[in-house]
Amino acid sequence: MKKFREKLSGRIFLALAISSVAALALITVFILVQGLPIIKSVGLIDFVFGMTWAPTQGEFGIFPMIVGSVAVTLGAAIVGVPVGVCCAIFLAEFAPAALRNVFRPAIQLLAGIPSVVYGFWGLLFVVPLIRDYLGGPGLSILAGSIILGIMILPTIISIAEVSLLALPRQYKEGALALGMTHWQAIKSVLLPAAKSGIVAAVILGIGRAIGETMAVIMVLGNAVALPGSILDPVRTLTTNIGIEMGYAAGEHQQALFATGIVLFVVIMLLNSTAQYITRGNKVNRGKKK
Amino acid sequence: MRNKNAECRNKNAKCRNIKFFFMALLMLSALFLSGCRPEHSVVIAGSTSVLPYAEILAEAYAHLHAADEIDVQGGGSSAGITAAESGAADIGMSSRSLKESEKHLWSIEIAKDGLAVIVHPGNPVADLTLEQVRAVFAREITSWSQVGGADYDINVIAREEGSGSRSAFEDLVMGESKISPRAIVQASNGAVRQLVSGDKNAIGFISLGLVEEGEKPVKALRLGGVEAARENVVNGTYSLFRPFLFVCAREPEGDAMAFVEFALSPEGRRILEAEGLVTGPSTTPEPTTVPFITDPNFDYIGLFKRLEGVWNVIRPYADNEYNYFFYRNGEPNLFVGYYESEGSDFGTLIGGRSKGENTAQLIFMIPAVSEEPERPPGWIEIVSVDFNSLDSDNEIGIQFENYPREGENWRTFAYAGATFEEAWDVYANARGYTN
Repeated sequence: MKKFREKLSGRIFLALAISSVAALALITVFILVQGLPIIKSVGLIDFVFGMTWAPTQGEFGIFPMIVGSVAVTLGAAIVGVPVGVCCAIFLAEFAPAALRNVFRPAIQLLAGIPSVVYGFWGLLFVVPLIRDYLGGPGLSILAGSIILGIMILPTIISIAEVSLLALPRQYKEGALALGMTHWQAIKSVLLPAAKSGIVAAVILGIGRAIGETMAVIMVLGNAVALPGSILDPVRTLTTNIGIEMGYAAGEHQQALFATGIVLFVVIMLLNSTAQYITRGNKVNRGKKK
Repeated sequence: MRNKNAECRNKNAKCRNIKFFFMALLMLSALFLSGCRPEHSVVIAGSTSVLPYAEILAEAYAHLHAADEIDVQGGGSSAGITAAESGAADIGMSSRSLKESEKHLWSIEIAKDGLAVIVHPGNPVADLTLEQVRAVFAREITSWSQVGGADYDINVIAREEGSGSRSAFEDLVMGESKISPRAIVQASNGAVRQLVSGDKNAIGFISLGLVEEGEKPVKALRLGGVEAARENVVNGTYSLFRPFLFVCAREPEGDAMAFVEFALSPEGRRILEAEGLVTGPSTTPEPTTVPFITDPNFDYIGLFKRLEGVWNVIRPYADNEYNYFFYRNGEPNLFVGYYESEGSDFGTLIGGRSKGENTAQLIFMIPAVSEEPERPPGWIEIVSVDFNSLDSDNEIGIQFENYPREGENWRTFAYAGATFEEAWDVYANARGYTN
């Protein structure tokens, strides 16, 4: 009987585990079935590199949105990565325990703020600032980059910090014993050793940024044109779906799913890169030992 | 002991499993069953612009007819029209005029929604021509200084692809040119309004009813000197408005018709007006000269259509008795009237159908000087329409009759002209309705 119970519980867990993977499979299949026909009829090259998006008039080109996604994500990385990595170094190496106990929960809280609140704040605070001091409509790559840069901070900080803390104590002790200063030890020993973790942190942060929708709908301006400067409005792949799904029917809807496929592929690539980097480096370190 | 317990628990688990199974079954069957409609159910689908208003109407209607179920869904104007055509929905909602290919469907306008071109209240520009608005949204004009404002770039804000407001704006303003892809896109009227209220260089378009809503003000531009105001939509001088239509495959019957009639009733109109829409007379002021009825070349179908528009307007106010007016300032005038009676050759609807018959008569009444309300001597009945004339596809059989047949004066009056706008004014005054 006991055996049976063991088996049963095993099966139940298996079933539940399968259901989560099944959800992935279901969504993937659905997106592909819905989106592929339009890619096929438009042509992959014309779809990905097409410059005009006018789905109700039968024009499906998402290149401006790909550029938009790349620009905003890059901007978010420029804003968020230095701040995030430095914050992680500070927390792992410099911060006294008391300060750390304030910072960590605060950063976790940052992760808990809903994205729509970020967007709203951006729309009412960041956008007018940009409009008043830098010109343009305010809704811009810059606004999106700032908002997303802040939003990806918790991801970058926590993963980078963990990878710094996970380093063997001997690294730092050895470096200090060799007469290095604290900063020298961080710069030339700890950071290179934790490189893989930090890079993974950055890539996961970027993954978050590229997938974010609600906040950027509100601050990006959503114009479907190639931007000339960081003060121009753009549309990203995610916002394209978010903004037009309400009315889409027929081919238009398929085109939105096809946008989803492109986004899906990009994020898959990013995530597998992150995994590859972390894994690859671990092997290296093993070899060095 | 332990073993027994375990067995027990196990049994329970099995029981739960079975229960779960049944629950799942139940849910599934509920899913399938929900596909069946109750007997008195009207499905309405289409434009998301009309949707909120239709929902409010449906709610009010439900209070009056507890047995009927009105199911209101979105989907967009085109989807709604397709659904109505295919029968998937009883009534389709559209926030744009019907295209040529859709003209064979039955449709009725429940209200008009003006579109206002809005700017920041601090913007010195207060008046643009339609051409200027078009050039601004196409980004042929990019600086406010080109239209009499300060030397700042214009921030153009549009709605997203597929939105009814956008397509209405494209139809009414853009014509052949296109809204620039560089225009900022926002997904709702509210978002456009919010942006414009905070950006002194922005320009956008929203539903006229929403200009006054909200905490921070925006300024609606005059269009070629015409104030963006409800009364100007009503009198036809402000050209940026779109119809909110109910569309059906054919003239609806039963519950669907009851709902349409509710939407057009004074109560329905009151609700729509309260929500900021424009109801009542706002047909384009095309002067319609009363034709000489025996002219074989006259476009009676066109005339019929125009009269039908007028009929739609006055219908909610028409009771089952005489509703007419006679003359203005002592002069005989065009009369668009309504008189219904069963079985009488005189009983008439305009654009409607006589009870118990397949013919509807469209009458023109050009009253001679008379104060006899029952039967003014100058009435001329010129058109009678057979909706169900089977031997002609999609054509409306029209026959003409003179009424009254004696007397010479009808010829004279048959040429008396008046616009429907003018006709309405007189009618409304006579009935005590205010615009």
